[in-house]
Amino acid sequence: MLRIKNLNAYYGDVQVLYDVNVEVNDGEIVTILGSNGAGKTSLMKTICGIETRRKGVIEFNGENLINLPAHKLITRGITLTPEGRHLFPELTVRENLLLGAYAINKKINDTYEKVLEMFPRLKERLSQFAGTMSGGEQQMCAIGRALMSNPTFLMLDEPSLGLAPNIVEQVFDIIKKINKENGITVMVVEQNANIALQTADRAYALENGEIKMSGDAKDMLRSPDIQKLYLGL
Amino acid sequence: MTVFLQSLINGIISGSYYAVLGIGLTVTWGVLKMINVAHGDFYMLGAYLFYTFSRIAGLPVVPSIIMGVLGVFLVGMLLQRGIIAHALGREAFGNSPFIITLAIGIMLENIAQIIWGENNRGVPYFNETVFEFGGLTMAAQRLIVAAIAFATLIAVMILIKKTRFGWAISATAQDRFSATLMGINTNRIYMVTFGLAVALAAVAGCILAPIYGINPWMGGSVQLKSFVVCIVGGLGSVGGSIVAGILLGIVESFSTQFFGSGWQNVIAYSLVLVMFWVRPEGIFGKKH
Ligand SMILES: Nc1ncnc2c1ncn2[C@@H]1O[C@H](COP(=O)(O)OP(=O)(O)OP(=O)(O)O)[C@@H](O)[C@H]1O
Ligand SMILES: [Mg+2]
Repeated sequence: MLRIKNLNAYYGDVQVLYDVNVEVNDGEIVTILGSNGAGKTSLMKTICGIETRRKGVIEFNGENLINLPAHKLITRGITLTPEGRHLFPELTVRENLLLGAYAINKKINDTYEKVLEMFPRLKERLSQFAGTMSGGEQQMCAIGRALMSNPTFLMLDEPSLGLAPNIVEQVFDIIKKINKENGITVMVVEQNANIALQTADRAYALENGEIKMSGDAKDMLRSPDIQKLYLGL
Repeated sequence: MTVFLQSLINGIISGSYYAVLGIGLTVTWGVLKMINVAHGDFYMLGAYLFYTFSRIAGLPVVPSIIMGVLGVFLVGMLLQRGIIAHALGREAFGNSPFIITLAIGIMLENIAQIIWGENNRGVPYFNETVFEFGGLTMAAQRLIVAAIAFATLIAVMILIKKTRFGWAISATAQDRFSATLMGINTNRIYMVTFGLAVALAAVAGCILAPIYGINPWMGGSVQLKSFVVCIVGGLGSVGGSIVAGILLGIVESFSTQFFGSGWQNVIAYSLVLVMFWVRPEGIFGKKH
């Protein structure tokens, strides 16, 4: 589905990604691990074509996206729920969700109903301003908003950020559900390596803008290097 | 009582176009996150274009206004895309919309001077009638100004609150990054919003031209008034600008009535200072 080849990215003249190669196959959950400042968010933004200048190949279903303007990405079936969620704080939950389908010309009633079914919490809070919800609710809203465009490929940047452990588990259960039941391919960036590796099929470790390791998530969970670096064992 | 009523009506009428001017500036701030110190010069440009279409080309009033406003809308979009967006994207310029729009303002004033000369130009009243009832006098021109101003305010509110495009504007204003992810072309939103904002100044320029006359420097005082409205209303707040515009109009009108016209500006700017003191975020602004 997604094939990233020799991706280099820069903020101005400062390079942040070095020859990154990542592949995500249809139906997989892939996780990108990495410590603070490793370049995970930059990788997500670079795939989207936001902020960084980029070189290389980002092939999605056979199309190279490297010259695609960021706002067109959603029309290819790709969405990102960004780090820190980035909801529209002064719009209601309902409006946030509907904006998720802004670029979609088809009828969205079914999708809207499905999203609300998946997140009953949101259904109770449709007319609340998104900025006034709790962190967990905001994360649900962000994921719901991303699903409104009926993506085939969903990227999530640190969905566990700032959430209590039981909420983190809920969020990852939802990610699994989206993947299994809706058939959406998922790429998730996480610092919480434990839960990410338990959820994912495969994993990459990104450090200082380079992919240092990759493999089957279950193997990575047992790798001494990964345990030392990300699992604090 | 008649004096009071007359002042109130005069105030509301001036307030209506202050609001139109202020909204343009506040939307520029809210969406593009930049200050536009050339706002008054687009007001001037609107007046000149109106003058050109109606007096030189001989078109009727309404088409002349439409062409004038449309002209400024296009010039605004062109300048945003061609100059402002590029300049702000460059490291060397730092983040200085102030300098860039100041330059644009000076440029517009000089171009106006070259094309239309320094002398005051005039356009006749749209309608010469003066109404009198119960001791109140009211020129039809002023009523027309208020009617167009209020219609413009309503149109802006509908555009922002009710249309798909308005939605995209709000989303872009609140989070440009997310708006892009939703598939909104935020560069285009920036360009069109800037065009619309200066077109609002042009609306005021066209309808006030018969009353105040036209010269290359007429934008100066308008710029200041627009700032007052923006700051008092709360930067970025459309509703706040409407309230603040009308408030400014009324305050000015009463101060002229009771203290003489010399005090009008002093009192208007005192309003800003008081605002900074008691409620720095403006009437409708949010605290940060
Ligand atoms: N807008 C920017 N301009 C310049 N440098 C940036 C910018 N954003 C990030 N960086 C730098 O790029 C590097 C990678 O940052 P990035 O946010 O991608 O890391 P991350 O892996 O997502 O970290 P975290 O786990 O803290 O979210 C860091 O050194 C950071 O300082
Ligand atoms: Mg990050």
